[in-house]
Amino acid sequence: MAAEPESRLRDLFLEAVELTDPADRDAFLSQVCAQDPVLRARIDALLSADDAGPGDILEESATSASVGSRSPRLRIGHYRILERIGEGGCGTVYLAEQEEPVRRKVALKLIKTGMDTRQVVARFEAERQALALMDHPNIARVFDAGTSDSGQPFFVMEWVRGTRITEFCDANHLDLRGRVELFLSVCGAVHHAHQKGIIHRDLKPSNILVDRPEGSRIPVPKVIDFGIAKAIAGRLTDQTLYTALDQLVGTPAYMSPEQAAGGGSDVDTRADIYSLGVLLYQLLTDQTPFETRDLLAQGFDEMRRTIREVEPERPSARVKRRTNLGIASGTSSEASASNARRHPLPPPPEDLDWIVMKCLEKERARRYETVNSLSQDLQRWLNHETVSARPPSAVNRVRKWIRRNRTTVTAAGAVLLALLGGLVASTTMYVREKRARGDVEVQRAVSDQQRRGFQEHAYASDMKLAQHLVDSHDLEHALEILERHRPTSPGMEDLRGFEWRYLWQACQGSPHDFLPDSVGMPWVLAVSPDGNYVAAASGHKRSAGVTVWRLETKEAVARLDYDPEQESDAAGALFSEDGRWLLTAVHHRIKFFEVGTWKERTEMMLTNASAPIDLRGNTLVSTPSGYFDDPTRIDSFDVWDLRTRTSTRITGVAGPPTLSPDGRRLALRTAAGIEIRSLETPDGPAVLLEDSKGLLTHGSGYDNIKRGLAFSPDGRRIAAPGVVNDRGDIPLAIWDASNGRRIDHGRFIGHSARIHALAWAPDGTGIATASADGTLRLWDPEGREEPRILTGHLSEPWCVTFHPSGNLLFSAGIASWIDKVKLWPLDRPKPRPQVDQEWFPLWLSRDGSQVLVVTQDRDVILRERASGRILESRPMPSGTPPINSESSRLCLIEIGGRPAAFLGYSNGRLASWHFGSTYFPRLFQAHEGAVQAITAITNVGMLVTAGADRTIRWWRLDDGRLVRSNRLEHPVTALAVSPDGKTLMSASGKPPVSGRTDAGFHLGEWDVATGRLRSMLPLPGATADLGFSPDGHWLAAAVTTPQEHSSTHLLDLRSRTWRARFDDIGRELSFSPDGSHLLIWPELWDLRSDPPQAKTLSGHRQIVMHQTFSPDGRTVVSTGDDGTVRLWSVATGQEMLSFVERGRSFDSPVFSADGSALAAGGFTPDGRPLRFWTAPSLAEIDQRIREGRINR
Amino acid sequence: MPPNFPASAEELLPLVYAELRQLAAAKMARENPGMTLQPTALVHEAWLRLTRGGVEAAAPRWECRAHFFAAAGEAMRRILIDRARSRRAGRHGGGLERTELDTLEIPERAGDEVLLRVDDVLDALEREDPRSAELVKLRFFGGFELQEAALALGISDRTARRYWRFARAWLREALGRDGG
Repeated sequence: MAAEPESRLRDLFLEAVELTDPADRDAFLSQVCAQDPVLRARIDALLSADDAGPGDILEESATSASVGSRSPRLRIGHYRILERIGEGGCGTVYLAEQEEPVRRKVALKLIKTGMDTRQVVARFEAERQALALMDHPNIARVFDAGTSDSGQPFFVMEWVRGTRITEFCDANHLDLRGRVELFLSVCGAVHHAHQKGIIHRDLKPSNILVDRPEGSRIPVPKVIDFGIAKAIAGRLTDQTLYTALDQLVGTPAYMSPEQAAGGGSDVDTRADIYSLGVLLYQLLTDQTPFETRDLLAQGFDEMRRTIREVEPERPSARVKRRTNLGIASGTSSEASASNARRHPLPPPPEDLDWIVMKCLEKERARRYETVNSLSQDLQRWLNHETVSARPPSAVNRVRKWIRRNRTTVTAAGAVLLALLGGLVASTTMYVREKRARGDVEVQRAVSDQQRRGFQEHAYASDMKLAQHLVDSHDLEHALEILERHRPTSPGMEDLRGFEWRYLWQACQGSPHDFLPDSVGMPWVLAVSPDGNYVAAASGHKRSAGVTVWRLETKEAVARLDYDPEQESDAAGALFSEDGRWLLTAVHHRIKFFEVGTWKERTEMMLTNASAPIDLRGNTLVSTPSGYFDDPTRIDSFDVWDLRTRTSTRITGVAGPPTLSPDGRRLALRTAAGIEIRSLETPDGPAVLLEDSKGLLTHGSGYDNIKRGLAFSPDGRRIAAPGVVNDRGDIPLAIWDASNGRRIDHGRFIGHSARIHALAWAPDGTGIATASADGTLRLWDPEGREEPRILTGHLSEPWCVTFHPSGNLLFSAGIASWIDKVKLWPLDRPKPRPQVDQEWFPLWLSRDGSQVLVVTQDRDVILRERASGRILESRPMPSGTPPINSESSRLCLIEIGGRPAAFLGYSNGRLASWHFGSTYFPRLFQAHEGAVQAITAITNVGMLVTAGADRTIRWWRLDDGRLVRSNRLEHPVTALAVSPDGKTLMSASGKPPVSGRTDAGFHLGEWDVATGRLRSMLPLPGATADLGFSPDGHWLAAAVTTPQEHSSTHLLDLRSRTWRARFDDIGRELSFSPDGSHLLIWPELWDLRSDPPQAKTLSGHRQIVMHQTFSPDGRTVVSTGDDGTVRLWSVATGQEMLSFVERGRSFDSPVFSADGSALAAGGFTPDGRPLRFWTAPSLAEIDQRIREGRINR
Repeated sequence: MPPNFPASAEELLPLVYAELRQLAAAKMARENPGMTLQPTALVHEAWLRLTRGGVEAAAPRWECRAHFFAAAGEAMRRILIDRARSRRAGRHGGGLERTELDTLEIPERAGDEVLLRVDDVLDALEREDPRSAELVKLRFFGGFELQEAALALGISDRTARRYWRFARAWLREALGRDGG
């Protein structure tokens, strides 16, 4: 090892820096630098530079992993905590100090644990771009989101001083006008956010703070928490909705009916309008339409019903009723109750009633369409004009009109009208109306355009969010977001493209089938030993019961133990080992049904037993407490001998036990951990499973466990969910059942939320787990293979079991109303076919079923996309130069729906691959010099080539006969044919090697019909590429001047003038299919504006090789060296979807004409395998929805 | 180590520099100006190319690696500085106004100033303590994590941490004096 270089300065500095006591440090330095004051000064300077602490520009290209924070206790992320300023439903808010990049005080909201941090942060990240666009004086900005050391998500936002809007109004005795004016500022903020595609989802007084800045009389409200509700709103199943109402939303009083409905219904800007309506209601009456306390007292279902169905009292009626009853004014919240106002509010006027009630419509289509229209109506009320919310009533209009023109009407108006009669009146009205209508039309056009822009933006953001959610297996939420973009009204544009259809398909999950007619919340799935029947025991109110399906027909054949008069929340079902009996427990007793006839044998019923846990032979384990698998409520259980119908009670347990396959041992949870006891000697020595004590603690993944403890079929091993690790993963733990030793070695990691249930495959070669992260996983108990992940559940998978054959897996999600009992075929998916020596895709057939591939062996093959089967292969004769995009010119066309490729080489030869019935020669000498350009004019059946030999040659496509040859003064470097096939353009110039700078570059315009040169235009330099826009309006030329300056020039063919110059040339000229956009990577130019405007497509980390537009022109696809394929919105330039494969590059993207398939090539370490992504058409999707063959 | 693989960082530099230049040029050629190079990826790619033929397997001696990476850090610095200089020079060139949609691009461009300023004072640090300077080159110009840089230079994490602290203080102080 080489000697380390010496540096006295460094060594002394590092020694001094270790001395934290200033006195020690000083003494040390005085001693070592006694003779060298210069050195001492240098070290002091370094020490003070070091004192600035970590984090500055120098760290920017690296992370500051090297430097620990100085006061870890008081830090969250990069923020220093100053004080706690609030405790909300979903977390604690701190005042914190940010030091980098600017020093400022911020509010930091630390979210309570219990949510999936990764998903919360991922959802936030997905919206960050949109949030960054928000810039409004009445919106508190959200700066950052992250994860604290303890794994809690946090949000950092602008620190807002101020009080809740309701308290502010009360404290300052604001009258109705003042309140409406203040409310209008809030509307402005929400409208701004909506235009950026952000929905708040949780508008309520505690999220709207009002401050009166010093020296100002005007109060400034600020809306806080934008983007946060969306990030933390997880899947709303019944279970979590309780929590959601309690924790996330804080109070259901502001929740829109569609939010209260939960489970799959989408939420859009109109949910915010509802919440604004509730707020306005409260500002006018001091009460919310439904009071939180009353709602919570109603219980969950009733509350949901109230919000969704009950029409609230009109604000004025509420105030009047209260005044009549003599109830003191003041909200029911403690804060303002203590602040009771001396001057109660008068009942609001009728117009405000209408405005509020329009916001509170249950049917959101009947609410205001935008916040802007709500604001306008309020403004009209302030101006004493007619409000639109009101049902048209002539009297009202007249009344308003009179009030506004009070003076004129009473004085002159009446006289005039009387004198001139109806004629003048109607003329004036006509003129006024016409003018008004003109304004309305302009307004509508503007707002249509705005709405369109808003819709595009929201669409692109939502696609990215949906992909995040699909990646984190939150399919329900992803589908919900996708469904938002299904057009529901005629005015709504259908923006759904490949990305939407691809994600919709992804939401359908892994291939699976399902059983119809499931009900309630399934707790247990059981399969009969012969594999013919599947039973699901469901709890949930009065729908509790056991449903049995015949597997062969997938029909529900019996509904057992179902009593519509009785409620039950838990249920169990078990088949006896001999397959004769199905034991059910729904209403606190165990019933026996004969399998097949489904008749109950009432004499066998066990009345003092409530839930069957496990049954082996004649040994039945049941619980007496009425709960069968809630560990917090099971402290004892009974072991029955079914022959004698007697039981032994075992107490002191903590959770449900399980029987070994031979029925002789019992695994149970005690305070010490998981123990295995012998049933023959229950008081004998037990085997305690290693490290199993921690599994019983709260939050370990064990609370609420279903069937989370299972013996392997041979009884030698036992598996259970392990303790959550520091990354938040829940491992699967496996023990040796004979000695209790843990044998999984931490290999089974992957679930990011707790494991609800697990099951061993009948042959013991697999373990299936069902997790709250939305996935099922199939593990190899030996840990040799990667687990298989099954996605598709829309709610948390709650139970899982194998078919006795081991070929099928059954699972059920907690919410049967959105999630059916699923059947997963377990045969291994076939590996994707791969053709050796693939090079890149050239063409996809219209329906995407066939692909034309260039191979490394100078071959072009046509193959089936899905199977990989080669349909036709056309190897080139030996001696053909390699196909290389640099040295060859390529032209690809379709002749009668079949592809044909023509390739020109630098030696003047022309090769063709065609799969139709043409007789074009395979390989021949087309030019004396290099082939410089090739194009085809299919409408006249012609191929045109240009060579370094200064000729343009026209060949017949059917037999390759030379039709004509034009000689030019200079060699032609590029050719292009107009979309109508009538004009050929050529670019010619002196060879760039001449080194001379004199002009001589020309654009030639040829008449295709006659082959004559129509005109010549000068060009500024050598042109490598020419391209017509598909609409024929533009011709683009990629030009390099003799000074080596490259730019793209745009010729407006309508005015025949050069219109624009872009300071770069792309690798290829890409016009969007409608000619509205030109892509010169990474800039996407909108040619409709003058001058053209560009959006920058930024996101690729390395070079982008190629790009293409989707056939509908709404999406750009780019392929990069960074191993990603990205899809971008043409309308907004946002990234919508990306496919990532580490360690490879992507190039040559190709779309099928119907937009159903996308192909790309690129390098991997092992070659160039092609990749395909497919999406069903909208028609197919609709058909599958109609036929019910969908995941919903 | 192959027989003709130069042993010291100084000897390696021209080779590594040429390789990196070529790689970077290939990646940047005719491509978009907004694209950022990924220095770490480039350096690793260069290492793989130079040692293709199983150098690592045949002779996994750290000197070879350390020398290479020391040279790579320097080479990377030169490339980035060249680019920053030319970018600064080219900024006056005209063309169509581009609509800056992505504000996130801005800090990257501001980075040029810092790049050039750090470069200005780095030679002096190198004279003071070559090892710390190597660390800065890899970390700051090469985008290496501290642990990665430690591994590349064949020093312990702790040493790297300490040297980095020194280098950081030194650079800060120098940049402060520089009038920043």
